[in-house]
Amino acid sequence: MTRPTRRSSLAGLLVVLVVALLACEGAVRSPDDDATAGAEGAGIDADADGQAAGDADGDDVGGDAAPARVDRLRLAGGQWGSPTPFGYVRGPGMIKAGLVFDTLLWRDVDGETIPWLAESWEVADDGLTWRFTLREDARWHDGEPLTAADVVFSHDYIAEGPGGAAGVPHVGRVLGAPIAEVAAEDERTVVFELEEPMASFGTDVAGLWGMLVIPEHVWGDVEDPARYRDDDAFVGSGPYRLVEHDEAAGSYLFEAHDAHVPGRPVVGEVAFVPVDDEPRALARGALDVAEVALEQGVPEAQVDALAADFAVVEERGQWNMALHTNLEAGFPFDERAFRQALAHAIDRADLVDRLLLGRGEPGSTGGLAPANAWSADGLPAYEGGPEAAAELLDGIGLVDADGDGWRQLPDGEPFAIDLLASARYDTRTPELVAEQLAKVGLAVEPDVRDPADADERARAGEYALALIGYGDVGADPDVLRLRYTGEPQAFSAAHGFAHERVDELAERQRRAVDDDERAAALDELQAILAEELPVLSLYVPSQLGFFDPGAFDAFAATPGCPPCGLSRNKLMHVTGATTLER
Amino acid sequence: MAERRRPAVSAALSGLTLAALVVLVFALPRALPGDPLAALDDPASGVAITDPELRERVLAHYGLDQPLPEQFAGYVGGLATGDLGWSIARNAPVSGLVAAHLPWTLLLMGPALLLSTAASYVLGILAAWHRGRTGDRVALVGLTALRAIPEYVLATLLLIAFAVLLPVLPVGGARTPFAEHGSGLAALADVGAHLVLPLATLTLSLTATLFLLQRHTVVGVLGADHMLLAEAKGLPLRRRQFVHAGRSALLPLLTAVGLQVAFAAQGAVFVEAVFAYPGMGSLLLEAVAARDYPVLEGAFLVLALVVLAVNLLVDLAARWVDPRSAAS
Repeated sequence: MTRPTRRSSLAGLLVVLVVALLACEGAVRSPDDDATAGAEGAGIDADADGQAAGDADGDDVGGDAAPARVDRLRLAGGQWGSPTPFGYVRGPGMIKAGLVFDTLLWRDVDGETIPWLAESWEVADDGLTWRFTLREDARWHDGEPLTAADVVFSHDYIAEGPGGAAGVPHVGRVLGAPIAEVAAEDERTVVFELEEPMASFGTDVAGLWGMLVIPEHVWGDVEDPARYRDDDAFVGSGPYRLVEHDEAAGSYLFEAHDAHVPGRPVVGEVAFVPVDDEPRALARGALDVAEVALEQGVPEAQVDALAADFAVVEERGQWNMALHTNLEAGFPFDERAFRQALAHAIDRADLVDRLLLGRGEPGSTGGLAPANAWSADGLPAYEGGPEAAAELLDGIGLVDADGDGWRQLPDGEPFAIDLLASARYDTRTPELVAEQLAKVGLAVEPDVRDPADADERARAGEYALALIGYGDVGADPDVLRLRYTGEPQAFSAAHGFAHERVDELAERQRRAVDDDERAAALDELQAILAEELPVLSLYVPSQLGFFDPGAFDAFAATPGCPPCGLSRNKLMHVTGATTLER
Repeated sequence: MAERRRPAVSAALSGLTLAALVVLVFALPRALPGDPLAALDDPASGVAITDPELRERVLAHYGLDQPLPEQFAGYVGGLATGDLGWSIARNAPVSGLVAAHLPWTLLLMGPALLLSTAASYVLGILAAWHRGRTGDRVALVGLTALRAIPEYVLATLLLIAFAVLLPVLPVGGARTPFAEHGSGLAALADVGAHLVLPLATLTLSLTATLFLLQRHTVVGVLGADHMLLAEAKGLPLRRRQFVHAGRSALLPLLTAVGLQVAFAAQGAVFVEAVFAYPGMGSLLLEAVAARDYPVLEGAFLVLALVVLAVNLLVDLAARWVDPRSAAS
């Protein structure tokens, strides 16, 4: 009889397969990863004295109290690439790479730019020279000293070297900056010379969204940075080192780098755990914090249940759902009165109540999130309701001539609009918008498409009306320039909108050297946008999170950093500064 | 009984299938509306490629700036050297992604096929033997109903039953992340616990189809001469059931198992999605959502190769079971 042998060899094969699976994951844990309970958490000590644009005051951050060390913080994982400077994927990947690699400056939860790898910086009066002084004793994880030459290399590697072809966010920001030259004055001083002033330089190049500083001794001869995954690709200078990454499952484990010069991390390990659903994972104890994506439609009962069991952190939002009108679609979309009528007809406060359970706010008509520090005051809110909308529509000849309840075009032809929307978000939004516009006689049919299709149509401008969601309304206001001027490139660009004064103001705010000048340009720019309304920001959901305060309680939103969420700004992992005291 | 194909013909047909497949997996993703570079945009963060020059550079980096024939040539050339390309959405080598995801799918598909075949073999014979009686009717109605339920519905029902209402099994993933198991056995148990629900779903789905076939075939041989002879010889019941009747029905069952491989692969895609099981199904679903051409090409190709390979194995097994087909 041969069959028993076959059967047992088959069973053996299965066991081998399972064992091989476990072994080939490369899950090597370091033996000494026991966190030191009660150890002192260091704050960010720095004496940033230099400033010009007025943002940096060089305060110590979180240095007063010394919170007890937290062994492990478990956040939601996912497949966001490899946390190397060129191997990560999108915003959440950038956050992970940012644990391992530092930027010159960083941002705290109040939105202030703070010293990070650079202990101080100064900007020349003309805004063309940015001089950074690196921290003394700054070192790479492998012990090599981190010098100004590394910073110069990091820039040149993107601007002139192979780094520029990687499709990761910070590369685009560096390439888009008007940098003439970067030079090392000495071991610790690096100088950026600009061709023209750039108001967002401290964020987009030196800070939060900017250039990850990489070691020249590792990357100097790497020709294909996106594909470089050798062990030393993970040698950074950031507060954490990668210990484990399971590409298939989407889990990451980072371990504190206690010699991190800007500050020794309070959180010993940051674990990104793959979960299907954050609230459920929190409820069953698999996560320490759950962030709720209100824009995807969350049942009220679930929010109530979480609020009963956990501490709540709710902050004003940075993401918005916006109604884009493509002015190239011709009449009546190119009529300002039509777009204003849409704004009157859509009850945005009602959308906030019904879709976001009241946790959010109507968007600002100026194009930035209401919570954005640069958001202009006193813009029109278009709260005239159906009556005001009807008057405007009548005025441009869109009337219901045959009395069937629907408005026709001036020549009597029927008028129906397809409303492009993405299935990525709560599909009740297009339904509700269509319902509200029906009240003023506009026939709107939601056209909900799969996300890739909807994104591509949005990018190419293949729509007359579209609902597009994006998270940059809380960011540096230079997003207004990208959205409303030049050839549309991104899915969130306004199509068919051309306005000379907007172009002028967008450039002026971009090059503004001081805040007042920038604010003046931005206020006028937003006033024009609020009048023209190529884009109507419908609602901005709150950033809502639930957590067990016994585990860790430093959760807060970081202005201008949607991927930081409420739990992923590394500053909080380093300082342990709490939300509740804020 | 239909003659079995010669190995050379089988191999040639498999080769042709493979060639058609290579063309299809290249062409189909490109026929979908959507832009693979959009995977680099991030609506949640508001990050997008806004610089046309950068867009050109990234397109060139992925070879997407070339005309289709050149892209195809590059793709086939890559295949020839074992290079499956680079994922745009995951920023990782496709071969590495496949290597990370495929074992989990094999771990799901393999046992599901074996278990479902064994279960249908036994259940089919018993049901045929007791045809018309309560047990047979229950099995017939139950498994026919089961066959009508799509895998993802069955998966969701099991998920609710055993992970939410009666939380005895993990709800998702293939193992507990970052768990430090005291022994290899504990790690195996962890993997096993995560495998139970997905495996049960897929096995039940596959069993339903195979059972009906097996029962039908066995009913057909019950009155055959060799069965009467076996009974006349006074052979024990179990021997008559599982050796005499069962062996006669083995060949159609094996052929059906060959066909089931493709269904198992397809079912695994849905089952993995429900249980967040990190197999090829999860990889493919994400790649479709992101229009990640290189991953779609590589993953579909590898999955199809697995199906072809198992089919060849089943072919060989059938020749071993029925030597007449080898001789013909």
